[in-house]
Amino acid sequence: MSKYLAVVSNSVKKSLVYRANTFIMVVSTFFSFVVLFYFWSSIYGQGNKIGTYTLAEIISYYIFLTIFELLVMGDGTAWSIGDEIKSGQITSSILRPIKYLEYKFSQSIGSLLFRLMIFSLPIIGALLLLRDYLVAPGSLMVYAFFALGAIMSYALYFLVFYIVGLISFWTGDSYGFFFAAFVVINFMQGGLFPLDLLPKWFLMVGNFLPFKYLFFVPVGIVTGRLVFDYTFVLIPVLWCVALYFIANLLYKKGLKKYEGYGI
Amino acid sequence: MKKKIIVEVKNLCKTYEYVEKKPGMKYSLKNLFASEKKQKEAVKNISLKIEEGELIGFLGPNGAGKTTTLKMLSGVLTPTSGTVKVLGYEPIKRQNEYKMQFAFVMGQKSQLWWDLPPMESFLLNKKIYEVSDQDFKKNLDEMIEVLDVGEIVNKQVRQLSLGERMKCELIAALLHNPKVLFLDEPTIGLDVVAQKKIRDFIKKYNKERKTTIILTSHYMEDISQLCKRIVIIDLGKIVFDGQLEDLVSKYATNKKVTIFFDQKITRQDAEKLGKICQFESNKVSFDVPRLNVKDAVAEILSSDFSISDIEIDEEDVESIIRNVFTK
Repeated sequence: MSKYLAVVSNSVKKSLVYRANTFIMVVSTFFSFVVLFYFWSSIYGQGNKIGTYTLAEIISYYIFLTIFELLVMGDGTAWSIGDEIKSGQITSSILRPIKYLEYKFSQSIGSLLFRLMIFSLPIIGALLLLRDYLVAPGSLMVYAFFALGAIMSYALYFLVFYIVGLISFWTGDSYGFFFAAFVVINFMQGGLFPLDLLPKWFLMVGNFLPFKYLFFVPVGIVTGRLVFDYTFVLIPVLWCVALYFIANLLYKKGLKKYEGYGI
Repeated sequence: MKKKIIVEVKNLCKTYEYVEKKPGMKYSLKNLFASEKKQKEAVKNISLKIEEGELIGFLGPNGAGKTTTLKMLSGVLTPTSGTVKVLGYEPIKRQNEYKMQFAFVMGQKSQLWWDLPPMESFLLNKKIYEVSDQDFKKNLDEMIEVLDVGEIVNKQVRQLSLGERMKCELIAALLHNPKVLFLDEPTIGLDVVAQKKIRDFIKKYNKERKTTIILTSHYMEDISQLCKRIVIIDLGKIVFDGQLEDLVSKYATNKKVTIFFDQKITRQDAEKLGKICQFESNKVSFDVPRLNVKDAVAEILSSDFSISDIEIDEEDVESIIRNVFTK
């Protein structure tokens, strides 16, 4: 365990190196919240409406989408796997007594901690500034369920992109697959528009897939449009377990094909 | 006393599959739909045994199969056929017990974290290899001193020179005191001073710790300075496996006779005296078969040219090896 903590810590330190980069990220994040607010205020101000969403609900929806994009959705760690395979850099991980999935996950956690550190400032600032225009959750339990949902989402995201990265073992490069996966995931999680604007049957099918648990469900809980249900945890947990096994199986198979390029 | 066998390789083969693409846009597009798969036998039926504490050099031109062999010894690559045993383990099973006992340093790949000082990577490896505080400090201090890198271990890796980085790669790989060390072209691209420093370090390390070291290089210096035993690989096969001296006596068929003339002579004149290997107006070197040296020198001395000095040398190892490859 302590070796993985050391990876987490190195990963945080690595992120802290580039100060100017960090500063720009923080400032631009704050502005993206403000822009969202004015955008939707102006649309609703002209009498338009998105489904049954009130202005406060729609602003909350997209603000949480931005927060998820910053914190939960792929930090590039899983994306880097494809590159490591392509360039042969993965060799140094294969040779050391360390599990690759856990190693990459630790890197990802390190990067998450870093982002929590730097983005909490603009996020909290924006939430405070816009508090009168947002939906406020009714009870502490809602926050707890939301946090649980976000953790599930984080794990699912990591595993999905980890698996996509491993495709490089067979195809040499997996950017095409990343792009395809991103397009599908972003739509299916409600990243383009709220999923309850779609027909009912679509949501029914989606219940059994991992996608809506990535974003639509957690944001539904925090905005009060969804009431917490045990399936909100059960289904993503089952998917995590399944994806974990698939990931390890693919890694094993992939290594058989691996040729350690470039060394 | 018979020494322990550390590495045992039997009939090892590796065949790669690759896609052939002829140059040009036309073939790039064609490749998108139907790619032509070809096979290359990178290693053909290699067998070899390495004893504990040996420092052995794999030598051969690019693409000869040296690195492929190392990759199979370390468990990066799955052999197509044949068996590999290192320290009693089958490398391809990639057991942690095996990984804890070897290290692989690649001249062209880094295990250091690019954005952090090497020290952070050292500390990470300390955890990964479960090295005790005591051993860590002892090993680290010693290596930092020998390699003279005290100044740079707290500097970002991306700001290090290639030589500095290579020294740190070595330290990172050796912190857990491995029993077997694979070195793939550790001196590639380094200047002469850095090369020598790393060479001296490897030599000392092998001597003091009895670590079995397998090294590949195409710098002749590396091999001739470090290794008693060399394995020459060409086109995936072992063409020579033995002591360096044996290589010289077996393949060095010529000696190099250098004549210093008092005056400038023309190439044409020099050619009459023997087979020229180097020509510089008043200094000419000849390749002379070992058995003929006496006669040849006598003949040259009795010629009309006035001669100031004569040198007779062994052929350098590099040209001997060139002989091996061109056979």
